[in-house]
Amino acid sequence: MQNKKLKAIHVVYANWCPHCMPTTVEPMKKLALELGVPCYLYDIDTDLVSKADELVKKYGDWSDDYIIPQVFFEFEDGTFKHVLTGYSEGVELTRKAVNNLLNSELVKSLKNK
Amino acid sequence: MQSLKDLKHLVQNYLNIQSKCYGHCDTVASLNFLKTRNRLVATFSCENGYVSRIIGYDNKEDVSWFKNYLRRKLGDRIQIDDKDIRVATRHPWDLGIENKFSEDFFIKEVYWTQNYRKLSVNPNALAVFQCLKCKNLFIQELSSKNSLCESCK
Ligand SMILES: [Zn+2]
Ligand SMILES: [Zn+2]
Repeated sequence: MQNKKLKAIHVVYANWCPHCMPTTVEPMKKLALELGVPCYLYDIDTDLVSKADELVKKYGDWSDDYIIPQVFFEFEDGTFKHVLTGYSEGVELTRKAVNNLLNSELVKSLKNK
Repeated sequence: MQSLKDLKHLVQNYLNIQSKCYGHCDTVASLNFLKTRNRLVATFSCENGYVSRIIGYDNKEDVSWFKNYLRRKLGDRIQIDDKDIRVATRHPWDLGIENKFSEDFFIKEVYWTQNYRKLSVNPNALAVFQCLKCKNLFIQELSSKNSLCESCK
């Protein structure tokens, strides 16, 4: 499903947000470890917010007060792919989406690289 | 491009959840589709009719249509603040439907959140409710305990 090699995982998040912590951030850190790539975390309540805004504006779901978390895959060829945005409907849906992503063909194909 | 029927089916099956009413009361908020021509729009409203979110679903991002829709639907007594509008892309891999759709398929959600905490600062604030009987939206004071629109009372 994915022919490119993964270079890094990027997560835009906030510490106070239950969709982010631990629901998304922890599994993404674990996945990055498993895939042998760095996991870059951008806490929107720190100076990293400008980098977070840039990622979301360029590749993600941008709005004035955008939804967190947002997860991006960066590939060796320099391209980025938006892979997940938190579900405002409820944390349960975000948790399910993270699990779906972890078990997806997309992630499986990255493991085989 | 999905047909509206297919999109509705996906929303019903994958974006449907019961959650606690957002700030207004202790009852459960659930998904209710609104009658909309050529578009798919739904609310999350609680057992007392308070609308915590209105969501537009599409296969493309069309925030301006959604904002115009809200303005038409809610009139000028309800302020639509850009900060309360957010978008989200749902992909096959996070919805868990990779076996049914190709990688480039997605659903765009546009959310309008009716922020209870922000509204409740003003004791006379007006808010959007959904009639428990006919499911039409109506506007009344945020603190009202009424859950029926004028026609259904
Ligand atoms: Zn309520
Ligand atoms: Zn009614």
